[in-house]
Amino acid sequence: MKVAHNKNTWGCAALIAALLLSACGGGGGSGSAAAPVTPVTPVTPPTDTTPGALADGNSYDSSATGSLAAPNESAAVIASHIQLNGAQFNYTATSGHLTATDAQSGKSASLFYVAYTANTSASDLSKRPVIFFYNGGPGSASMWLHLGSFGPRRLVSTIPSASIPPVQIVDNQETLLGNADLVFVDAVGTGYSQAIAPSSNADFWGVDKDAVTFRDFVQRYLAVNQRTASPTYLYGESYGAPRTAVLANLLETAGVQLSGIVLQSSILNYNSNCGVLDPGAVSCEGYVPTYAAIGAYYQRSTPALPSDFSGYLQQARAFASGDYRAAMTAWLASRTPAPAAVNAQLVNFTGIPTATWLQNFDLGPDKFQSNVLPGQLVGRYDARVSAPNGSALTADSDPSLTVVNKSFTSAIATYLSGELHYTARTAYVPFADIVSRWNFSHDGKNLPDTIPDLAAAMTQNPGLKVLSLNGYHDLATPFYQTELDLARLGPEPLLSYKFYSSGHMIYLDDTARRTQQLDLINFLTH
Amino acid sequence: MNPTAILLTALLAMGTAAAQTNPGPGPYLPPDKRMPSSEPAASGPALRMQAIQKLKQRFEQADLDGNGRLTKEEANKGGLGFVVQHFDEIDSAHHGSVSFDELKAYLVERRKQARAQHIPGNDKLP
Repeated sequence: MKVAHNKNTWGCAALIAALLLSACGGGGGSGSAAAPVTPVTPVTPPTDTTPGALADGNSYDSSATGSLAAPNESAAVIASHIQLNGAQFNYTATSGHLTATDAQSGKSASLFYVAYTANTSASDLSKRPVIFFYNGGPGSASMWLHLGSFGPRRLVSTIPSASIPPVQIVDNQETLLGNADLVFVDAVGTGYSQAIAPSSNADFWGVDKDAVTFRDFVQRYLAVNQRTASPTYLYGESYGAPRTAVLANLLETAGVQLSGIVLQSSILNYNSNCGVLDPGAVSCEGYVPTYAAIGAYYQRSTPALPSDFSGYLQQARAFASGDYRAAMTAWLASRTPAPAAVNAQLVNFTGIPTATWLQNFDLGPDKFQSNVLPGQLVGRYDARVSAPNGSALTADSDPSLTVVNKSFTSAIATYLSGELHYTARTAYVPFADIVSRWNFSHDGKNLPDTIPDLAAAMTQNPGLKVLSLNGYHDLATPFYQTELDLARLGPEPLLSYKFYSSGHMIYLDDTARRTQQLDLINFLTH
Repeated sequence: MNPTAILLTALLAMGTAAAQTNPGPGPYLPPDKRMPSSEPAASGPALRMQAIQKLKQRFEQADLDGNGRLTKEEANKGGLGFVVQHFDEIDSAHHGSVSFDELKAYLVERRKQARAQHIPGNDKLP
């Protein structure tokens, strides 16, 4: 076996967790004679004696050439509980790998997942829904949804406050585990997921191949765990939304009937989001209502405090699809300056001065970040988080990322070894910079438009429920662009939308997450 | 250039830099991949046609003998679990094989019925 990056072998977190365990007596380790081991070499990994713990002997490599020689389907299986609404809620946390094999190409990958299942009878399990969660990027592991949203344990966040809270993991009162079993899965090259030899990671870095791997993983998970009768849901965030559209179609074609899909903070069509393209390439119409929402949040709009926020946003949508669209069409075609009334309306929504709009009529979200508040940079993921230019919180060019990024990255490592009792010989990879290697082409276009995939999934499964979740202050995947993209489907009785006063990772806001939980329970049960 | 203009230029430059650094969990395209399609995004009947084309492509890939019809075995081999599961309903004429037009007719009819009856999405169909 090739020994790849020996990244942080037996990281500090794992060591501390193991030391704590041994200090506490190991929590119910077997009484059999623990033979005293002569310390031949100091690199012997610490042993986690918790029942069900797994020390995976594999090293995982997230690089393009990463190719796993000896995959396993082992898992740490840990009996756990949380205090939920004042009562003890028992569940099992399963962390490990399953092999996803494409029967057509024979290619396979070893995908890392963490599954939370309620302790209930086998007959009840067949009726309990299973939800598969994954983030996007491409290149992001699923740690944001895993530790931030609806799992049984949650990392404390104080968004939209512009401060970094201490790392603290708590029992999550907004968990969906009371209603469904939850599976968090990492894409190839992220987390602990890796291609299996002779394939290498880069073979899976594309819109279509990635979705095929997720399809094969979902099928493998349902089969291994005897959950093929369970109502099955997908929950994708950001790039995870187009992944969901492609995946839903692939699953339906493969004969896995889904009950519903959740598209959170979506970029369903890369050809329509001006924020990921060069300035002046496409209209920023989809961002205009988001700009208006942020203008109102900072009271830069006129009126500064709209008395009827949803009416105000409705007005912004109407302006975007009306006068703004007409002016932008002329501007894109021949750089025709926008009518003064259109610029004036943009000033009213945002407080950004006329001079800026005259110079940048197609103002994109990156420029908006640094122009809406004088002397400040507002967040891309959550524009409610702001910081003075040049301050420490602007180090990542997004204060809303800086306030959470390091906490999540450190917490996932500690949590995996300390609570889930899964360790490997390498460190978990929260983010892999693979986007330049990603093959975005799909259906003959350079950039994916996945609305046809969604339409194909809905054609095959007329009972498929679709829920679009959106944050008003998200400057990465604006809510109105998602509405425009999904409107292409025409009237769909099972398609619904929810909106929250939050950002891209909607659930990082405590109030939004509470509402989101109720909306999701409603979605699961109706 | 007056001080306001200099500041504005600096801020705009900063904004550009923001799009090129740490993408985090959100979407990002490197400059060389920013090549949007010039085709208008399909909706309505054109979109439904694209969706059907996607299915047709899979159907044709599975049609190993190229006779325009799939047996259950071909469908199974081609990973078309949907066709396998609904084979007898699609093959209402009992040919022992199904054409794409028969599959399409089945899908259209099923969707029509579902819309009329509001099939709850969380019920697994047999």
